[in-house]
Amino acid sequence: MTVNEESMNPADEPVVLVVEDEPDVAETYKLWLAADYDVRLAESGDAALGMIDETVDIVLLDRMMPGMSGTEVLAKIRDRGYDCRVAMVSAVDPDFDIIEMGFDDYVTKPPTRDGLLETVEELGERGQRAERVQEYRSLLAKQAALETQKTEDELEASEEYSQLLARLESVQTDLESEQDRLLDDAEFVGSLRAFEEEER
Amino acid sequence: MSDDGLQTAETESKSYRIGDAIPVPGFDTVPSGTNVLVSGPPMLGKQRLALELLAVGSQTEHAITVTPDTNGTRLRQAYRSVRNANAGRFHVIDCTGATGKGSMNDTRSMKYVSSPGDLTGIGMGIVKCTRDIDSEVERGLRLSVLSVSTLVQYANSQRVFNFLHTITGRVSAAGYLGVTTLDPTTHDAQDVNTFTSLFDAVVELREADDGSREIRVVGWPEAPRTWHEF
Repeated sequence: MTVNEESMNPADEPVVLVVEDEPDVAETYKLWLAADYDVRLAESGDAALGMIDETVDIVLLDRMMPGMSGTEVLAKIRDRGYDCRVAMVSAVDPDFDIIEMGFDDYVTKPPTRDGLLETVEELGERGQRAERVQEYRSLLAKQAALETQKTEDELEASEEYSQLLARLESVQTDLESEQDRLLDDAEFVGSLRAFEEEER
Repeated sequence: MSDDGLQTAETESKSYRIGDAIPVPGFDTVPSGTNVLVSGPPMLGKQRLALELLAVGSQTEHAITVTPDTNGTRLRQAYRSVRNANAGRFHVIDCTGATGKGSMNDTRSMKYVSSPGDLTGIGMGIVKCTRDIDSEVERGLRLSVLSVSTLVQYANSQRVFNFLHTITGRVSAAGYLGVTTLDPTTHDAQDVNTFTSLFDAVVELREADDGSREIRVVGWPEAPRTWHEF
């Protein structure tokens, strides 16, 4: 994608904020992600806090940086009320609890291209699932409204009602097929947080 | 994706005994993964009924209760007075916020969340409890939210729907028994409808003309839809 195309249509792409003090590493992540995401780079925790806003969907946060650590940056992001999805990038497998610290996921450093893309994609899908649950609720509400307003004969004849039921079933099947994800503790807590972001 | 928790989250396939807690024929046991909503106006003992429902299994199973209403210590006292209740397997997530922010440390039996509106924090509390319970979760886990109506006062009904969708989804995927209470008189009919859709069975309570309590189970094919005195 050329720079022009990118700037013409920036709103459709999820925004990923990469917080990484090594410029080469940051540029590599950007190269991998630029085709599908609007990538922004912050070279320190302080810079990240200056760049974080409600447009940021996903943050890749290096754990070990000079100055403010990734953990401190995350605490400040959450304190400010941003529920964006944050993955910690760490050279060692974390021996502490990423969930209690408020992280949504972690990436072992150095990540592979596929590994990084997969994590970012999964974090993006969490937001989409949150939207689908909201659609499910609005369909249920419409169903209840129609069922109280109309007689059974009217419902049977209603094109709107049969379309609604079909859509409802498809959304429900979709959501149920992804239920097993909630067995994972990080996914379970992350799903709850993703809703809070949608609601902001 | 991290897979921490996957090993301990799931119960072994089993059913849950309801027994006398809900004296309705055809509702004596339910399969694992069932979500039950206890619905009724105030002062009919919904919380007590829910605690009894948790206690039925407590000789082998653990129970987790999210309490935005009653502070954790009082709830534990109430639970101890229930027949057959094993308080050693009773885990409470106190999100009343009454204890003051940060002044209370989590214990094995009690986790604290700053406010009923902190739905992500409640989720973390549930995860902390299941980690404490660890492999014993295989024997069964009853997870309850007492009550939804209080949560709605702090978080709007869309947020509470999302929360319940996630909680009931976890119950169903992991094979827990879900028990949630709701006072339908405090919500508009549309919210009651959408919340109810998330549950497999609804236990309804009402006051009969002579002042006695009546109970019935709705949405459960094996149980008749008729009212029973209790």
